[in-house]
Amino acid sequence: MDNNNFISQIASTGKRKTAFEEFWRRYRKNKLAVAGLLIVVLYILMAIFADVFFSYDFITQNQISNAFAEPFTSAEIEYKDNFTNHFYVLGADNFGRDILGRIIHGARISMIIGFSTIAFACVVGSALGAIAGYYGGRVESIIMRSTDILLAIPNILFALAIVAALGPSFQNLLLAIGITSIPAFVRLMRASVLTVKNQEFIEAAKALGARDFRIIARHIMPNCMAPIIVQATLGIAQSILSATSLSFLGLGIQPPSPEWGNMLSDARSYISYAPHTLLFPGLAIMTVILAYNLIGDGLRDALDPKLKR
Amino acid sequence: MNNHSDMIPILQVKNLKKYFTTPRGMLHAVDDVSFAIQEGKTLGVVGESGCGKTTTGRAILRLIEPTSGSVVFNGIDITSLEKNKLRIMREKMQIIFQDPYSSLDPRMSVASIIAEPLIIHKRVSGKKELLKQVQKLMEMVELEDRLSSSYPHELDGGRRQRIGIARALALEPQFIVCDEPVSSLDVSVQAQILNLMQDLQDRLGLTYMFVTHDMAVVKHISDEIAVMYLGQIIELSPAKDLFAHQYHPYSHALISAIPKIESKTDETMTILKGEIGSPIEPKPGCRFALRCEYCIEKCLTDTPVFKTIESGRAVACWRAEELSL
Amino acid sequence: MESLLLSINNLTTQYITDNNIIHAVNGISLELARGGSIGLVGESGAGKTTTAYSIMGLLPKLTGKIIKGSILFEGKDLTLLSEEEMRDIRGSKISMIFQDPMTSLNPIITVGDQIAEVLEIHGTSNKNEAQKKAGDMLEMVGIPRGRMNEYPHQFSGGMKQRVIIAIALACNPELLIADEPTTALDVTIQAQVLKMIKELKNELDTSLILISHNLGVVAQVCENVAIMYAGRIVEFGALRDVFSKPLHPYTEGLLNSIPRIEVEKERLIPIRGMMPDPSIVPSGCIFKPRCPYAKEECSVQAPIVSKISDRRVMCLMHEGVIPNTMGAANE
Repeated sequence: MDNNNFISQIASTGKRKTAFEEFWRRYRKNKLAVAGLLIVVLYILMAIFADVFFSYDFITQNQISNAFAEPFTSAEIEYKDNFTNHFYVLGADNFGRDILGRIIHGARISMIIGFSTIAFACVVGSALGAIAGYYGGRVESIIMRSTDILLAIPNILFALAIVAALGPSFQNLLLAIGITSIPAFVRLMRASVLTVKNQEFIEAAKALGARDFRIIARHIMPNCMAPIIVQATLGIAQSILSATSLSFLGLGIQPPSPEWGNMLSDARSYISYAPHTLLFPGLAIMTVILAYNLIGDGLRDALDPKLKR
Repeated sequence: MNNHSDMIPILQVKNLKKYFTTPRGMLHAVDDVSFAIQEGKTLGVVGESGCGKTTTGRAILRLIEPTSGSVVFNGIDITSLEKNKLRIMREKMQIIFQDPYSSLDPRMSVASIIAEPLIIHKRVSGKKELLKQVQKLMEMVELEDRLSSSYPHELDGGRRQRIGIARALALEPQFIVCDEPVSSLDVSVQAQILNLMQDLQDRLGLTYMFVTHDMAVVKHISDEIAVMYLGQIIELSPAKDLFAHQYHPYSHALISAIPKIESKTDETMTILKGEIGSPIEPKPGCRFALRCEYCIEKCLTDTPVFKTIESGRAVACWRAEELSL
Repeated sequence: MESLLLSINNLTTQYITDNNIIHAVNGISLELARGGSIGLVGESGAGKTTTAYSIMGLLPKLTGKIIKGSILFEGKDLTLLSEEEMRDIRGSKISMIFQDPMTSLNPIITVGDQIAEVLEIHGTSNKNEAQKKAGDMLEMVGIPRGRMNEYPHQFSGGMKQRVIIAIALACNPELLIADEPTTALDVTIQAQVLKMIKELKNELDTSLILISHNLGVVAQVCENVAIMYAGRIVEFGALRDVFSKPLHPYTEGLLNSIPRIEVEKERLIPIRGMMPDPSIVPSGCIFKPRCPYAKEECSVQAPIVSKISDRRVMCLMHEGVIPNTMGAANE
């Protein structure tokens, strides 16, 4: 059976595109999402190469004489028994530490928090959600009621409780934020599994004699990934925000670590005297959260199968 | 085919029941259905929505667990098989679905969909052999080679249904449940698929159970036809004889209601009153009684017995022999 | 000849998307006499529904566009009317029934109120009258008046389609467009609904355009039939003539490819290949790649409408450009 039309149909859409090319073509159309992606990439690069710009020792060492140095000013500093002139791009904080340097190192902390907590929550939550959705019955009841309980406790309060009980440390902070991020993934995954598992191709796989594990891993999970990816992106923003909030309250990263929440907390007493100490860390938080949310929106549109073609 | 296989049917279904629990009571989706299919033949199962034809097909394959009854395939009662043995049995019993859109995993390429059964049952060793097998199957269903890396959503309904057929054939089954395989296709494509299915049956000696609501299609493809109404088979007959005359008033109404091309059928058409009843907790008596113009007192109280009336024809109606339809 | 109610001339409708133009309807012409009935037959993608939407003025705002041609309804060109003027016509003079009875009704409004709503919108009656008329309409489609205050979910599929027909006919329209009205219904229910449509049409003297892929359904209801393929009407004529002696190879192909109750066929004869890509304008005849009678000329010269007594067909065989081999193959 020859069919010229079909060939021309394929020819008219150009080369056959891979799934990723197709995704990228649609993502690119959303200019704001592309901007968001650029900002996030910038922060990630900052996080990776933080030590190239400023050493950690330098940005945690007090230079009391330069306290509250204005942006774009130079001042003499003492570092490793040397006296050098230092150019403060974004000024100095109340201990005379370079704000730009602290923001760059803060980016590293924030990115670690964001990615590790969400990676944890995403894996645990998706697995639980998939199991609940696929098997139903008692398993589902137990999993879903547990997440309901978790959801009933305000996130910050729960994190507070964990940190208060286990003591304020980086690991405990990650644990607290990670756990509070789980319920969103459980619910989302369960809902998508419920819609996917009633499709005929799942029944087809059963009729072929496929085992449960294969059905879940090969047919159900891949078809549920789109909303999970979107949720993960938005979740990263959420968890960075939670971490800064906890640090602001003094329950997260402990000083002198250059965490953005810490920086805000330190700076708030001097808001009228030296507003730049508050402004720049605030801007850093804002842009990163905004960027992740823009990416999330862009992904949601680009991954929506209903918009195919 | 030797005499032996003519005598013993490849598939024998006895007293198959599937009840679902609903808030309003037991739903009798399939209620005491018995039939047999000979090897290499096609049994058409027809009926309107809600008559239990799809559930029957699924229950035979144990995609839905039957409530009771037996399904004997090649001498083995598969209703009592444990999971692992059933999985092996699945190689011999396959299904083709109605909707070629939702029955194919949208994230898998054509080749990997067709390859899946071969991988699951470890039928091939090595990638080369796998590709060769897939190619052979695609050829069998007349799918162009170059489509092997396409995704289902890039193809039309007819080609998607061919993928579904190739997947079902991969394990060289003997018996295939065809669940409305052409209902969602355009008429010209429908003819292509029906012809393909007939060719494959001749070539591979397949046995079909062909579930559909389309009387014309079922007449065309079946050797024998079972008419279902509210979970029960009400008439079972060789295809040609059924269309010549019907014993059950419902079969008669069903066939006369088909809009024909040649003539306006108003005059000859038996238009049924009312609509299909509820399958939840059905009362004793004939389930068709309230819509039947030949209903007598007995029909309302006693459930008609499904019995053979002439060679090869069975019907569940108290008045089957006296009515001439 | 009775007076014309609807006359479509050279209608061309396209859907324009980002980087693609879908040629949905390509220069169709069609006349419908007052009280007459036409069946639009074709496979999916033939442009049947787009034709209906063009008449109703319901094309999607951003993409759908009538490129050229006119739709004269009672002498007025519908393509030139404003949205407001169209709104007055829709539901009162021209009504449409959609395929899916499950989603065509608002689930949270009683069926009685849904029928009364049309009457009120078009100002034909006040509230009380509208309610009374709604009851009458329900009885007309064979549903007891007492069920007026029930909600759509309390009705079966066939009953819902009856309610939808009642809504469509409430304002006594001149023209009823029914888009696959029985496709979602069971065959015994379909028979009931078709019979009712036919009776109501005669009773109310409504003209009818029935869209269906099912040749049998059209044969039950319509006098004339238009066979559509890839946005063109390839054949038009009295239904009996067209179905008993098709002039276009596509019509013949359709008739050959369906299994039929009344005709014994060992094997179906499918139309090879599939629907053409609607974003490509072919040179020559659009059906050429699938046509068993095609000659070289067919890929160069596009057929025009040939008149053969009161039938019309678009095929070079009937323009005398290539020999007519169709009859020969039939015998």
